[in-house]
Amino acid sequence: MKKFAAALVLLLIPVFLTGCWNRKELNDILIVQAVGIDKNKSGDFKLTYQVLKPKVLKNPTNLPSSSQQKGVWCFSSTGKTIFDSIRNATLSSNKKLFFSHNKIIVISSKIATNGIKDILDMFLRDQEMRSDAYLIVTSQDIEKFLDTTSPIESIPAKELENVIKNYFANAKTFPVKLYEFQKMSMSKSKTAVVPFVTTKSPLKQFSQTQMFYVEKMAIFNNYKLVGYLTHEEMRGLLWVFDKVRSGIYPIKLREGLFSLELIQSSTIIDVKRKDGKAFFTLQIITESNLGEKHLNSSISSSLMVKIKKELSRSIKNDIQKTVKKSFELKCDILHLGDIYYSSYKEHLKFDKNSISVSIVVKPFIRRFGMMKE
Amino acid sequence: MSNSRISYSQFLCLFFVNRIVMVLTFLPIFNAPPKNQDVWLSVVFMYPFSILASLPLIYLCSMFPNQTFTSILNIIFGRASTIFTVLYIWFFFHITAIQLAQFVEFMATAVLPETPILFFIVTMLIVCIYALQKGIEPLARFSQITTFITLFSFAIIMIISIRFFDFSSLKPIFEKNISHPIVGGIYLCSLSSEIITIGMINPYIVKNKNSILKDMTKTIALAFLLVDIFYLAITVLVLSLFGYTQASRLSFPFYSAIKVLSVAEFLERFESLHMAVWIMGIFLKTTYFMYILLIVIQELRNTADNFAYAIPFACVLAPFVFYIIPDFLSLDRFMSYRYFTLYSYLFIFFIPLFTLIFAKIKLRLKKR
Repeated sequence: MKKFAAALVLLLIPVFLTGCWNRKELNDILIVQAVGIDKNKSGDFKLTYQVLKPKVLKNPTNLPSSSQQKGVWCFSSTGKTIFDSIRNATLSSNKKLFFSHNKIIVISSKIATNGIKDILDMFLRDQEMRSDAYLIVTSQDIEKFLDTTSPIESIPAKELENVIKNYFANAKTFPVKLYEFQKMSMSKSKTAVVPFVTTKSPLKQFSQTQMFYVEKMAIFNNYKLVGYLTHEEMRGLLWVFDKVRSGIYPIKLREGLFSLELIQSSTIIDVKRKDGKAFFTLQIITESNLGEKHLNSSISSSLMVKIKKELSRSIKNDIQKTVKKSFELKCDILHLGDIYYSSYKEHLKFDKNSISVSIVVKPFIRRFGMMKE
Repeated sequence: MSNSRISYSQFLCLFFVNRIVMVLTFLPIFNAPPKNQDVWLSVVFMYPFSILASLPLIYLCSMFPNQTFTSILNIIFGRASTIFTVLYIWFFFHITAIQLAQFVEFMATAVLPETPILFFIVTMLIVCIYALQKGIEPLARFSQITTFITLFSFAIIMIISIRFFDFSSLKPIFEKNISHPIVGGIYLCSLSSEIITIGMINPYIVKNKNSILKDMTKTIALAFLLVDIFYLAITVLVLSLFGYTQASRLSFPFYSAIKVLSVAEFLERFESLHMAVWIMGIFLKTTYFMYILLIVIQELRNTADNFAYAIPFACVLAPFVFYIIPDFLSLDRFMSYRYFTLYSYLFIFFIPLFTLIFAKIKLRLKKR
């Protein structure tokens, strides 16, 4: 009898294994790759989604040359709140949106100027969302931006992700994830940067495909878009953040033109306080290789010194531009307030007259490529 | 229910898993003093306080090697001990309910929001009752497996997350003053309700009668050291990733941290691993506290088998869990340093200390 009861229990167990309440069948969901946030004229939120087309993606021979062969399709929905807009998407689509694979959150620059703190709340609160999605700002129409046909990847969001992650090669941009943006915005300086991306035609003549282009970096102060950093200013900021991995510094001298490829860099920031003024010292050590030379003669030692000097000057120039922009916008882009607070446990008075930034650069040119001269 | 015995190493594993399990999700230190990036110092200070809080029970165990703490209470206080025993029944019942409630809160908030919470409670209780029938020794063996899996998986997670560590997030050190992290350490120690289980599991541990004090202290010190190392690594990782302000606003900081970890943007979504380990741990903790609850009832009622009380108590536990979690904030508020510290210290430290002092006095008077 006992054995019979045990067998009955074992047979009954599979009844409970039919799946849980939260099961999500692949056939019943739309996998969101990118989401764009904007507001319409009536003040309601307008969300645009870039969702996967699994049937197209199943066939790898499909090239993303036409909209039919694109691995994604876009549509939008509106609502009083972000969540309301997302749920309203089910009014037009036959499947529910699934955000666990969302890679990109695109925010319209129009709404970014009014502040995005409340907009991001839903993305941080909902259990399905992931805070490792990248943030992007654009001034273009979000629908057009997300509906772009990218030339390489069949999923434009993937291509956009790769473009912003290329900072390690150019040192002119910086990808920022949602939780990193929150961390920066919740620091003492309350300032964060986000890539500003637009689309452009690959060539001058008309093309069906569009490429993503990181035009500049948007500066957020207390969650509000307050300005932009140019590529050079962003490079200055990356020096301060010690995030320069590689990049090219073109050096123009009377003798000729040179390209230096940064291979390894480090930045140490020190702060001293004197007479109520904060003195920041940035010590940068950078190693580079000679990548290009527009000069007939070989490189002499004196020329090497000149190139190094010019490299130092260029780096200093980039950082000074960023510092200048910081004071212009009256926001602590360089997070100097955090560094000061770490040392003195006091808030930094962010004022041009009470802050001094000095930069010391130690450049090294290590190798000359495959040519001796 | 078998009354088999466990070794010191098995007890260490039981203790470690029980203590670390709540750290793995809730990381309560982020809502306690010093309420800034110095929280990692509170974790460091937790260690000496935890050892100190365990000492009265360790002494009592060495004085009465074959008695549970509630039996010791009976020996020392006689009939009056019934009041303490009833209080302890309440405490173990409450702690078991809290474990279940926290399990439910996590599952219903972060993983399966549409699943009815009664389903979580009932399924967990069924498995717990099954484990209770097997007794303490299989539970201890399970804790050994869980400890190995926990240590192994979290060692991997820590290695993966090395590149995310940002020690500048820990600065400035001692932002307010040293007293705040100390208060934080005291609070963290109060969350170690496992301390009282030293006294309850005491007779079930195989021990050398000549070195009980030394062996027990060594076991507890090692268990807390393991807990502290993991706790510290988890706290520093969460601070590095989110910074204090963001982390303090997260319901499950470590779970959120694991969600964003990745290896070369290729290997990611480690949260499933975290969840598997966590559910093993919470099952162990719930069963362990239920087992102790049954021991106390068995002693109070003076019956031969304690499993007879398992199903009735499980039936009471299920509605009680609903009662203590009308919403997530209520439980969170109760578990905060404002309420839980004193409540817990009464049971894990003050009553054992009072008993120890009384036992010593009684022993001296007897000698005279």
